[in-house]
Amino acid sequence: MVDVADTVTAVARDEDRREFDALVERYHKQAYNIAYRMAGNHADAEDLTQEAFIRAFRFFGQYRRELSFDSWLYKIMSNVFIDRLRRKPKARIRSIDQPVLTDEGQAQFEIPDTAAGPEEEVLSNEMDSRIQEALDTLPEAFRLTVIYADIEGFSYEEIAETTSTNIGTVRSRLHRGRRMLRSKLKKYEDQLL
Amino acid sequence: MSAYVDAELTGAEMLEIRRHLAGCRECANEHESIRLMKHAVSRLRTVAPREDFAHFIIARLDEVRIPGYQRVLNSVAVLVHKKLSPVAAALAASGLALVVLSAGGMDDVAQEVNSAVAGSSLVARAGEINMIPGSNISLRPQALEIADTMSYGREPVVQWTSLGR
Repeated sequence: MVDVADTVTAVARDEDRREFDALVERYHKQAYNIAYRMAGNHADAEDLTQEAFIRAFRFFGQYRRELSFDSWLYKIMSNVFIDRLRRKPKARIRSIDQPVLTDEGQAQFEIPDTAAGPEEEVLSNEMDSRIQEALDTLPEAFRLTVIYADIEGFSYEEIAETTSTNIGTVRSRLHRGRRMLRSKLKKYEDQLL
Repeated sequence: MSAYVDAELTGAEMLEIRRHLAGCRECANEHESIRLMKHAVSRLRTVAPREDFAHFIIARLDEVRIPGYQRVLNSVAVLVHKKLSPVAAALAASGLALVVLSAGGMDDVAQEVNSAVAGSSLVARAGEINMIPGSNISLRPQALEIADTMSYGREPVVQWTSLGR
């Protein structure tokens, strides 16, 4: 009987693999952006995205196609994120304008913004860093909720599903999360407009 | 107020709050600051990964070894999902039981599943797998029951119940 199962599985596996590779191509940038906003730095964002895709691949047979893949992936990513924080109490937090060490010495993150001129770009980068730093200070459950609502544009119902909670909790986490952000960003309010 | 900013209230509630905001300065200020925070986060620019990141992930997938019991679980889910023969699904599921039982205990399996996610879909589906009348295969729905591993802010909840009984 194990053989029957193995045969059935083998047929499904090639099909799944092709489909999954296409999903990686399609969603990896979006997933990386969300992972970056959760983790606050590139190294952890890469780890988080990679681990989420690997876990998703392992359980791909159980993915219900009627659900959107990104919601399912984010559900997994949220779990990976929380798991890692539990194992590593002090998450690395690095500002995006802090230099990173590469093989060729120090380097800055380059984030192109073709819409803005050089001065606007500097100001915009600074503000991005401040907002990211404020996000990093939120308790992780609040941070995830704010990110899913305001970056990904998920409905409360989608956030509840993605973070395995109920809509009331989503509502409360969002409200409290935004109030915490406000207290961190109060002095920059004029520049946020 | 956040629910109002996100338009997550009923039409009547939205109207009621809108009317209130028109006459209450304190709440209007609160509304404005919450709206501003939503705007601040949503305006964050998209951060791109390195160019070869998708290929890197795909290459890593080649190294992923899916444990036997997990492959069987996945195939059961696929069969049930595609509404193929319930007999085949039951056979595959009983294969799972054998794999698990031959593993010599539940601890390793529970440990593996503990790191898993997305198991919840199978809970409902296990109930759809029909028994085979007159055969020795007596798969009970609870034999495949896996609690949703997506706990949030608590220890993961993973339970295998009645397996092999």
